[in-house]
Amino acid sequence: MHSTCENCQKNVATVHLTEIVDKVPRESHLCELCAQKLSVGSKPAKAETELVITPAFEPATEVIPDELLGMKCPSCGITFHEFRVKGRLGCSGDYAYFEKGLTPLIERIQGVSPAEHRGKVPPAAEALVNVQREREQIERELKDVIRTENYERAAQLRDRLKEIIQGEEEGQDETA
Amino acid sequence: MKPRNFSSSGGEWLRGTGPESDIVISSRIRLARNVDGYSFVSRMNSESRETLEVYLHQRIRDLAGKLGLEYRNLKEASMLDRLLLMERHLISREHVNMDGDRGVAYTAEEMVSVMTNEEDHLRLQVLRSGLQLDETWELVNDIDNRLAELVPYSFHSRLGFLTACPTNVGTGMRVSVMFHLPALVLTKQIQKVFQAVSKIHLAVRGLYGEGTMAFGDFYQISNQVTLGKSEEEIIQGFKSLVPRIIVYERKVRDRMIEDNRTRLKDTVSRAFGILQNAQTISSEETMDLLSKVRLGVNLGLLSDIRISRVNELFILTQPAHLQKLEGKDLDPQDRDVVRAQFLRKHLQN
Ligand SMILES: [Zn+2]
Ligand SMILES: [Zn+2]
Repeated sequence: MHSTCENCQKNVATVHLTEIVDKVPRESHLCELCAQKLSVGSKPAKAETELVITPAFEPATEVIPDELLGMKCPSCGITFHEFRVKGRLGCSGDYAYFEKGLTPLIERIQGVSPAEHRGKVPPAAEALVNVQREREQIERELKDVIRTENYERAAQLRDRLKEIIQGEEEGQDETA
Repeated sequence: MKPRNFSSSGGEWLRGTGPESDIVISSRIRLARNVDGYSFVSRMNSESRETLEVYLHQRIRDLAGKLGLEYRNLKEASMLDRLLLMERHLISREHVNMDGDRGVAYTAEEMVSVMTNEEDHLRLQVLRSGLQLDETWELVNDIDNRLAELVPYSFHSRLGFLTACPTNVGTGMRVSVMFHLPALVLTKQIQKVFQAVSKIHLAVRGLYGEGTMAFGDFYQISNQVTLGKSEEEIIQGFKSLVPRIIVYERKVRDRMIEDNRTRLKDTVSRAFGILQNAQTISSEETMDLLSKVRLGVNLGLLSDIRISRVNELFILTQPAHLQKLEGKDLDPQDRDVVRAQFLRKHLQN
């Protein structure tokens, strides 16, 4: 559910707060800009008013360069600025296209870093995800064995990594 | 399709048969999914919305036989019918108010609903009575697996299921547990629950989700984080929190009975008396009084009414349900009169 910001009546409200005033919960819905302006969430709760919910979006701290805001997805036509105002992306390709701007935002709102899916994988994506996870695992181990000067193991890992990268390139050729 | 008589009974989740259902009304899990190759709904023009709606409707029909799903086109449905579906928690408020081709498929028990062209192309929901998180997850996961064989989902190997709003990305999963916490509200201890909840990044909402007031002492607790944890880990978070809230509410209820049984019985009996006799009554007052009646029945202080009936009345006295019953639009004053009539009829001794 996306509601409109109560303060400016313009942007999508992405900060949802519930205050308890005389046992009655009172909700407010603000856009990120207004929430920052009114600095909700950072103020200590007053005696009679208790702030009970942390904002869905923690106030933005990252600075977004202008060239990023002006970027336009070649597939759906949304700009990064439009996304920031509306709170919704235009197509699944936006996650890759706006990666630079989205990654810090996703890490902030989801409270995870690095932002990595750990849930279920649809059957169609399973092979790809397994290869990707193996690759990351090998790259991590490779760093370790190089540090501990275990060159024999490092050579094994490099061979496996080469196989994986080759496999990925072939996969791309097939789909191209 | 032929809908059941929505004006006289509620879905399975209102039956009050699930575990801990004196305090936990329902367990709900919904999964957000999008179809690869289409823009997200807000960027789709009306033609591609129509194409996708037809496409999804067909795929859902392939599932329908096994699950007993009935499909309803919402573009063709009246505003009143859409509100009715929302009051029954089968579709979201956004789904009611948006334009364009979209639909919902739901089972006769109203335990499963599948929304198409909502904020995301697909929203799969399972809603069950009481505290049944594993059973709820099992069912929605199964439906998701079956649909995944028919529909290519938008999926990213690092970010998981891709959703229109990054607040849903990853698992696309929102778990909501709805509580009835009248004793904690009456004794002004509900804030402590909110504080415990916000510390672990869960959100508290009213009966009708985000942006709604918590009338009738109903509180929904939902996860905020959808990425970086598996579905089971998200559910585990609820499993460690929910029993603590249940114990807390139950302890306060027991204390209230010990302290002054007569006074509590007086409060719940008066609430029942007003509901049985009022000639005009607002939705807020109805929810407030039904909440007290519900507490009274669960504590054995009132025995003239079944808990499933009380649960249903919360939904059946909502505005769209009353208007459906009367077969016409009603302004709020007329609604209050019809609501009182309805309550008198259903609460006779
Ligand atoms: Zn604003
Ligand atoms: Zn795009």
